[in-house]
Amino acid sequence: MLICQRIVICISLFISFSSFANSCKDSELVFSRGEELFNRNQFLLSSIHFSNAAALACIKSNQNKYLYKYSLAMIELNEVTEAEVELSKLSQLVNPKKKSKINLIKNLYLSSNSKLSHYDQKRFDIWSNKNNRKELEEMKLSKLSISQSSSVNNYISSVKKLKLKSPTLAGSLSLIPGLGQSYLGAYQSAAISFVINSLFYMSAKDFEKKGQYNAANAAYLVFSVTYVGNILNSVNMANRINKNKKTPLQRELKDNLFQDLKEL
Amino acid sequence: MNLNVALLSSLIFIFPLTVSSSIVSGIDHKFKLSKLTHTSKKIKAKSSSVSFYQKVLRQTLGSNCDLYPHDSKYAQINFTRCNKTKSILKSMHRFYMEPDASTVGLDIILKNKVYYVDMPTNCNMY
Repeated sequence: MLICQRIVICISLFISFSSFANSCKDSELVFSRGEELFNRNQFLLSSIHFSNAAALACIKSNQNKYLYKYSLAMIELNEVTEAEVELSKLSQLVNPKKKSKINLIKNLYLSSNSKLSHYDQKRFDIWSNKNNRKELEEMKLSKLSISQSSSVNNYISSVKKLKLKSPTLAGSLSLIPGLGQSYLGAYQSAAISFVINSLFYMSAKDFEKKGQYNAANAAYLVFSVTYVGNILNSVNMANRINKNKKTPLQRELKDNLFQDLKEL
Repeated sequence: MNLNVALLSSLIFIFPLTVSSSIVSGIDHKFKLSKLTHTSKKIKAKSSSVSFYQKVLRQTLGSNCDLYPHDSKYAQINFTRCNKTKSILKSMHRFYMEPDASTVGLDIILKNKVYYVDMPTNCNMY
């Protein structure tokens, strides 16, 4: 009887252990699939995988690692509240080194003001001034590693070489509808802008000539919208073109500066 | 005619199109948009004129908008988040930008055809 009992206990222990091991294996598989999706910029799908992996994880450190990746996916989806909740929970569970990483993430993406180490503060300052070249040039890069400081220098020199469009010039040229867009290389927008603005302006003038003042006022009102919209459009397009030219360089800088933030 | 072609090609030669777009996830952007519209609905009522366009005019006239979300949806979200002047001007800007979305280098969603992503993120004019 006692032997039978022991055998039953052993079998149940074995079953529970094997299911525990399977669950661990599953969580790793789900996580690796999540990472694959994350690297392909499928953040919503990857977040589901990371969440599932965290639920299946049997080791606390792994669970924290998966939840950290889940928070990163949430940040990419602009779900800042969710990310903040998760990161705040995590920061209470991890060691001080990992906690400083979480603080840096919070400052970078969630507009938090957590206290950072000198090294992290330096990196944060560099990233905050990425669009201010002069400020960046004046910064001392002493606390950074060789590769990091060289990537910052590379970024500065590459931004210098970029032929950026001037939003002020584009806006000023747009006083003649379509000219600002032509300066930016957006010829179709330029044509549409020129046609629409001239159409409303001419019709307003025509109504005015014929003494139809109410119709003329209405046409002038529409013209004012299309005219201001045209100036706004060229300024915005110049800004967007500049931003898009800088984006690959900034991505490279981010990868080099914050390499350690990809994993907890 | 030849003169026009020569003029156009010289313009393209002078101002080459250098900005390239990146392909992004349609699933993610659908999620972001649904969240935006869901939140916007809770803030204020929709613009009735834009709703009229969406329900009646677009069905009748058809639409061939390459931008995501469509101009009318973009305007509707703006109307619920920004003031009227800003919304009208921002929508006008978007209308002008539509034919040259590739030149600006907006992100792309590939879903049967190419859609250029331009989400109404804030109420800033520039």
